[in-house]
Amino acid sequence: MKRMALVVAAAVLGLGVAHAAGKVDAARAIAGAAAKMKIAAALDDQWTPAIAAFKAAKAADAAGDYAKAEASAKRAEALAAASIAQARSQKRLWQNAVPR
Amino acid sequence: MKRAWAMIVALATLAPGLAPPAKADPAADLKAFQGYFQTRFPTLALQDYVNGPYNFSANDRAQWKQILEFPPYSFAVDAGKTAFGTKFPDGADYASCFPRGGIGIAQDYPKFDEKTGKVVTLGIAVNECRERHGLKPLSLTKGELADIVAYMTSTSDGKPIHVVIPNDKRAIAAYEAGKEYFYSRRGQLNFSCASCHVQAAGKRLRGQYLAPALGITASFPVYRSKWGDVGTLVRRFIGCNKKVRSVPAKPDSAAYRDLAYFLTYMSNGLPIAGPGARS
Repeated sequence: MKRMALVVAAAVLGLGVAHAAGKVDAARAIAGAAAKMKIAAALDDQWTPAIAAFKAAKAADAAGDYAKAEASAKRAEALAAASIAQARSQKRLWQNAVPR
Repeated sequence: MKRAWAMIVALATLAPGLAPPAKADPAADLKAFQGYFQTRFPTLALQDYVNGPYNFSANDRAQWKQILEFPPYSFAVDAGKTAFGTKFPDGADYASCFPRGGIGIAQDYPKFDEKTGKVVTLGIAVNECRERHGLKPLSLTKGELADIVAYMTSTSDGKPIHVVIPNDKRAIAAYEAGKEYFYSRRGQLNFSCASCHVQAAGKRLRGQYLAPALGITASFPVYRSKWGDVGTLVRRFIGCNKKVRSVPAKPDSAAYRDLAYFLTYMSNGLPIAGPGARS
């Protein structure tokens, strides 16, 4: 009986630790996305799908769905990183499109 | 020593980021821009470009001509005329804010304002007028302001576009910023304004022909069947940005002011044909 109680307690504790870790990971991913999106905005090249993914991440985080929040935030960060690369490369490349 | 200098010069030439920027020359740009389209579409006369996508399909052109028998923008022009003639609470009116009473001046916009160092579109000038007389600015995209600009533009019908880039560093910088915006790819779809309206002009995007950038501003404000009302050039900029999945700039932003400045300057000499109608 004691052994059973120990197993249940360990399981509950484990779930709690996993839940807390999920929350921390989601928060870290959201912060990472926010930082990248700030750079993209400063370069005047924010993408609408990045905004949508970030909003989805925040909503999932608020609803306690940390796995979804982390996944959406990582998507937002990846989109923001791509927009930053686009903006920086276009600083040079736009001139190639000018009729001469 | 000579070898070292040669190496430096060679490296600077090879590395695009290190190459000195080309000197701005709006007049040369204009010649090259209009020449590009005239070479690509040799049968089109310069003034035909104001007809936009209807140069490329006899069927679309016929439908458009039929639409113009009862111009869908005429209500906006009438409403704009009424609003334009209405006195402000302080007794002044729009006419008092503009040269020649605001009649037949649309072809001169956008203008560079030497006092503020900013580009002023006709819509922004209308709002500046309102604010000078204690009224709130209107939306720069549609509604009453679009109606007023539609009316003012109608009084310039046929007049050649005459946008001036004064010999002022700030004006040249604004023009260059607009040019860079026009040719820079943005958004998740990686399109620039030029992708559709220079490189793909005259080609189809789904069921519609893409209007050449040359002459594209001449018909604004425009009644779009898609919108179901009249909208300004800024409204179109916002729509294009969203289509390529890019967050649009603010309607009165420097980005859109400068873009309008560059784009309208590229149509210098073409007649005003606004307000217009598009699908």
